Amino acid sequence: MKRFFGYLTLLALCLATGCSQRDLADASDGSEGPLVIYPDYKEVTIPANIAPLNFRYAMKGVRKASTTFTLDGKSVKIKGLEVEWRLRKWKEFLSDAAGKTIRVDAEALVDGKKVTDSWSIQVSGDAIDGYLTYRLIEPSYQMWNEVSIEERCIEDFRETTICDHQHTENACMNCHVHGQQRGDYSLYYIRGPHGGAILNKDGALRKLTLNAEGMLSGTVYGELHPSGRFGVFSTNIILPGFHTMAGNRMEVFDSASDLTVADFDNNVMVNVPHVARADAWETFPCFSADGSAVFYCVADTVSLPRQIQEVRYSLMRAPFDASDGRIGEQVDTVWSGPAHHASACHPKASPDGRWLLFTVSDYGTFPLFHTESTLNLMDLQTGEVRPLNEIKGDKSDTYHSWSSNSRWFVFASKRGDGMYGKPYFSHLDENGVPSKPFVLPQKSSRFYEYNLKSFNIPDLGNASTGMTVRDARRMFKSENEPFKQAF
Amino acid sequence: MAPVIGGVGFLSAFGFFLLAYPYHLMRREQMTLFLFDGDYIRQTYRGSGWLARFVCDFLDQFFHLPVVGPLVVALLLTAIGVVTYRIVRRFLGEWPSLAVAALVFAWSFLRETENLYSTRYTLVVLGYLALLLLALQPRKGWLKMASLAVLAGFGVWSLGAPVQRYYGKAWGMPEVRYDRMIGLDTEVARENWDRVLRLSEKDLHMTEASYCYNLANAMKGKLGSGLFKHSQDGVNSLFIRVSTDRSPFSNGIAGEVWYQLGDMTIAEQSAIIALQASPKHTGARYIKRLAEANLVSGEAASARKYLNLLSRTLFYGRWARQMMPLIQPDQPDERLAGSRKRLSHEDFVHYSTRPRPVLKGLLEADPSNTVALEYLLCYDLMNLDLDHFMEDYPRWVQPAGIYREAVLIWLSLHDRLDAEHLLSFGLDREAVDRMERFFRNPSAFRDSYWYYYLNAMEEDKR
Repeated sequence: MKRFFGYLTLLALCLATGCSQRDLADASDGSEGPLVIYPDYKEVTIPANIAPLNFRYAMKGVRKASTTFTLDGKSVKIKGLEVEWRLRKWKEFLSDAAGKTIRVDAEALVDGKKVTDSWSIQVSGDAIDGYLTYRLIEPSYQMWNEVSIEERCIEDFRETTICDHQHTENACMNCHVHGQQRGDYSLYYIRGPHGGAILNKDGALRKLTLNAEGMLSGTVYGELHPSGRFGVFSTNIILPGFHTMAGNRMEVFDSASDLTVADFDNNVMVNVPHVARADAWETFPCFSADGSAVFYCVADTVSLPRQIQEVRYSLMRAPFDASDGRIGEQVDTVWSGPAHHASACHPKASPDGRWLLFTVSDYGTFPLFHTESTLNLMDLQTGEVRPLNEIKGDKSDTYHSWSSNSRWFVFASKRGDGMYGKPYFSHLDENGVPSKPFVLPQKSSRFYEYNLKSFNIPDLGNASTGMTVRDARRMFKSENEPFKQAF
Repeated sequence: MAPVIGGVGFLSAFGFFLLAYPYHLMRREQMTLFLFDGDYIRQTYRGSGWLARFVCDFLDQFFHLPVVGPLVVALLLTAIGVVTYRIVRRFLGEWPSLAVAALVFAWSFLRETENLYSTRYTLVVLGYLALLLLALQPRKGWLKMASLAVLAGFGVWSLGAPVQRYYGKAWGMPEVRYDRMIGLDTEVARENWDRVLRLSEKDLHMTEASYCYNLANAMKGKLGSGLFKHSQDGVNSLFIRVSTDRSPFSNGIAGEVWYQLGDMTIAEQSAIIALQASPKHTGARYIKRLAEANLVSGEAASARKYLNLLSRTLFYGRWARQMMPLIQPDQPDERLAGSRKRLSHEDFVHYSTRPRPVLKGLLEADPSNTVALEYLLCYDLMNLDLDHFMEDYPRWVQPAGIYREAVLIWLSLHDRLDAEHLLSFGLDREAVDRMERFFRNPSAFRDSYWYYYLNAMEEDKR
């Protein structure tokens, strides 16, 4: 009873002051240095148009913190363990900050002793695309309940739901991808009997059945062509399996997969046999920046799940004919999985055509629980490939997407809690050197502590898609446009 | 008369949830999370209906306690009756008012007993009734209308819309079996194996009950000896598959056997899927299981996240704070040492539909894992796979009970019922005589493996 009244008092205090037993919470991936902060925004490079980098002091016994941000002689001091900016004040502070460095001086009492710390934040002259879409879902990879696709303005904290279970009779939905980072050119899927691929082209929406006779399944992974006429996709039979070793968790793999091209102007699926082989698994297609080629991953078939650790995907490049949507037969191996004893996933070409970013893990096609998975950067001018070890987290890093100026990319990382994917941003300089990644800022500095959903497939867009759940409901109830085989 | 009837109503609601429906409210608590954290509260309880959601979650956490939950619900339901009476009394006489109040009380009482009790809807009903009573206080007509409009607006803001799809069905009647089933889940999570056995006895024809019964027996070292004392739904009674075609309840309970066996991957997936199915995806019971699975498997970062959440709860806080120092896998602790010892050392990928190699891997990692051994042997027997059973049966252990019966079938099938082979398994002629008696009158041996085997073979032939 005594404990009950104690908690009642605590509740009242919580409501009144926002206090809590905060020092119980260690930051799982807080910063280094005398004062640990979470999220870790120390020594990061940020775009000038990013939302406020709200953080908290995450150490036991810390209290009475004071943080001073200095830029060009002007200073802003924030007192308290939670350093949370007012949006307008942050924008004013960063209004002329591009290309400059913010100095942060912090002091706090830790176990009664005064501790000081300081760090800098580099503000890049390169802006980042202002919108990020992602699917919010629990990391079960087998079932769904109440999922949604969200669009977040990363210049502030506005989040708009593009599609959710409430407006689609609890249907599952798959992730939203932009075409060439355009807000008015994108695609996402609503699954189930009334579902389809929702194509947003110049703001007009269509619901398409991207499946034709002879295909393995409806389309799964893919990307939209710069012309607006085509989309390249994989069709996959996906199976989940469990690892017996604790910590390795799950493995999701394809028992079959092919490539296909959708012609949105003529409502046909262009299927060619050399990327739909029975003795190979082809998946994760994307276009080159100019749309003249398709990059994709391919592996030899083996017996699954027994030989899953022998599945190694290579990275291929094939010409693409934008007059008829055919993937050409002159296929080049640009990175060999077997030669590297590793497996490539999720290639994405930078919009300027210079880089190709892809994930490398030891094996398989599902790097989400592979702690060894690392983003690799290929220079498409030289063919040189480099693992981006300097930004690698202790858990998986994958599902990346470029900003339209090719200077920023976002990727989903399970670093920190090991379980929930969070969007991390990194700046890439002209030499392909990435900056220390930082997590998507949230209004509450404690958001990621409470969050129990993964940010699935974060994708950057240079403008809002303008889509809402009302559009999702309208499309869900509309008739599907059928597609047929091209030849 | 009104206080007496109110008292009777209170006692009937309290007694019902305490004695006849003891697990209903506990299940609700397990599907809820309330953190004593101002920031969490501010983030979580925003928008229309914030007050109802906040008070609901705050009260739901007390359903963890067997007496406090029924007390809280009985008070809320009685308050609905009292406020209804006071509203109706303004227009009607005492008896008609009491009748209307009793009807509203009974409706609020019974409507959610078929599903999980919704504290939120009870609060919403009570809140709107209270606002209506308040709006009726002014004597002037225009003032009454104005206060009605203002209070209705306040109601929508703080309590939410009076009708929402989340509030469940309009009517329901108690189902005691439903309470027993959710009770099984509660007691399995609390590892009260004797209670699991008692609760499951009446429903052993149901797969989930049979599954829990077998698990409780296994934890008491009696899986083999108790296996055929009731009907079994084949291997489903041993392992429930985590699958999209199963209910959230089945998927939630499916991980319990794997947790006890030492496979934290399936245990974790099962808990995540159950968490997804909880109303706000934040069920404390599943977050605790996730914390435990990650503590055992040495996933420090994940364990820390879940323990951090639980450390701010009323009833799991102390446990979470005690477990916090143990997140490092090399941290010696007797509470986790046994579980960590059971973890598989060999890694391969499987679908969980064929658990035999997984069980063998667990036994290789820890030969003293008797729960895994019994599950392996019983799995072989349920599958009528006597060759694998003989391969899996440890030679140094003399077979007893159903294992002895299985060995006799195998010897018989291989024409080895001679004294030498019998002796090598510690069997004698008396065992063979008993089997012969079985063939003369099988129904006298319903609890034997022979009976199961014979029926299964005949079923196969058909």
